[in-house]
Amino acid sequence: MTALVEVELDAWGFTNELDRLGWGDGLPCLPPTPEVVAEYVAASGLDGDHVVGQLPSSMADCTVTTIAANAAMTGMPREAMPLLCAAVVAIANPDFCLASVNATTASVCPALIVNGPIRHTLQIPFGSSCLGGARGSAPSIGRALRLIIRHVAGQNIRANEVDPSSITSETIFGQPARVVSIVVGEWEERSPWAPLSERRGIPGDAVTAFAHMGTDNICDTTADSGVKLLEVIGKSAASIGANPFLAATPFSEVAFAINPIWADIIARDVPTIEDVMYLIWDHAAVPITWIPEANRGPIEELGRVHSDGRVHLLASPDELIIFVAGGLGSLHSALLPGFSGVLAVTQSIER
Amino acid sequence: MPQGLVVDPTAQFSVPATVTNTTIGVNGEDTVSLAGRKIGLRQDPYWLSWEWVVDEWAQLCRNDGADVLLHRHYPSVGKAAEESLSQLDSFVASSDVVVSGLATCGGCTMWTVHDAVRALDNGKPAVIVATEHFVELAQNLSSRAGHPGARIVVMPYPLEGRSEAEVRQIARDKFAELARTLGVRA
Repeated sequence: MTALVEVELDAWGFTNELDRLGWGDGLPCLPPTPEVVAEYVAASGLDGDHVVGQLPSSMADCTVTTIAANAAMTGMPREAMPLLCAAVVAIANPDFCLASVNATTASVCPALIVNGPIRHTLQIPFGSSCLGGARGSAPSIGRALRLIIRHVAGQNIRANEVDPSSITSETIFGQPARVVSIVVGEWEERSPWAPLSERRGIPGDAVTAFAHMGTDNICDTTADSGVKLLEVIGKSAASIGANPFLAATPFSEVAFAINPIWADIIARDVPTIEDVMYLIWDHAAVPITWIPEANRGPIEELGRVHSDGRVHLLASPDELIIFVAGGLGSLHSALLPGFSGVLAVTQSIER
Repeated sequence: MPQGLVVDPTAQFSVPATVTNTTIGVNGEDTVSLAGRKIGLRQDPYWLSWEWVVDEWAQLCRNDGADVLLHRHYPSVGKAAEESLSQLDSFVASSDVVVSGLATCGGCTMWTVHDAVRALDNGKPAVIVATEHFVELAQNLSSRAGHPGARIVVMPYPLEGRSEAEVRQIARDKFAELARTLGVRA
């Protein structure tokens, strides 16, 4: 059942009321009037009362109307409702483990990687500045997802305005994407490999929710082959402070956005994505002796030490999320460090 | 300024009013000893300090005549989820009470509460062990999971960064409180 609240209806007045209502993220919001919310519901192609998912820790029903209200607050294009609804389905999947993502001391939050023709319809960025900064619909979609996580999942961060009896997140630092989630497309037309979502079993319009800890840059100006680029990429991820190296982490995932120029060079030397993933995985390793002695026991107990004395960042190459994106200026690829014990989820987008 | 109606963007949910307060005594009453009881201790290899605490408490439980069952936490996510939950359920079923720790980070608090709630939902007494900083999170998550008032033993924070000898001494000092929280009167 939809609850209505009386507020000031102009954007300035409404924004000033957000603190009193316990809504929002600190940025201005637009008032989600019933008329506007109805337009968003219609654009979803679903009934307003339809329950899209239950999001922890509240496990409250997340209806299309609730999603629409949050979307309306950001001014997100109405046409993005099918994508936003699919994203909610993805993060509600138990494998994504939003309960852990929301509660943790880590800075983790969902990034959305979009595949299929819908990238063009919604102008989801996949070229220059695709991880943040490109003008378009992505920031409002990403912000709507974050508002849903606050308003529906009930993620309450330990901060001065929050009653301790409602705290559900202990993040130490947070990160900018906890206000506006990354929403990035794959540049499928420039990728030498099949699209990410297709490789994960869902061709066409799809969104992959990946729990990431921020972004890190991988720069190289000297590699003379695709194989050497893969070495740089893999080794760049293998920092012993990374969550996947935490003692007793049973599984983790890491994502890489490879720029189209590097993708061409890599594919010239290493044609199959399986071999690409294997080489990155193999290089993302450190000698067990790099890990402090006190931390080694649980890692050894899990059988993670290879016969050559190395510990891989990830248990298997399958734990890599690889997609092609970024500007054509080359030089840089992006690492999206992963969390522990959670999995990316790919969901089809129904239009 | 014009006033008008907007759609509430929040989802409504309620925290149950009933308070979980079960102990290992018969019919929820306190008991006089751990003797003959099966104490389930949940292990979490993320925290070396907790491994030491579990080791100490296991020995002290045995000294009091209890049997100790150990269960190593594994996240119930992905392909291993079913097996992980099955092992947890087997551990819960075999125990008279579950001691679930350690809530000393966000994710591990969530999983500590998850495993304790799994026991409480199955009618088994459970005690959550949390460090001071994470008590509120543990209370809030257990409340949202349907068990406000779940019993919590509070450990000093932080436990990490202390020597093994110091942590083991803390464990020994806290054992009487654990026993009282389990429902042992003596």
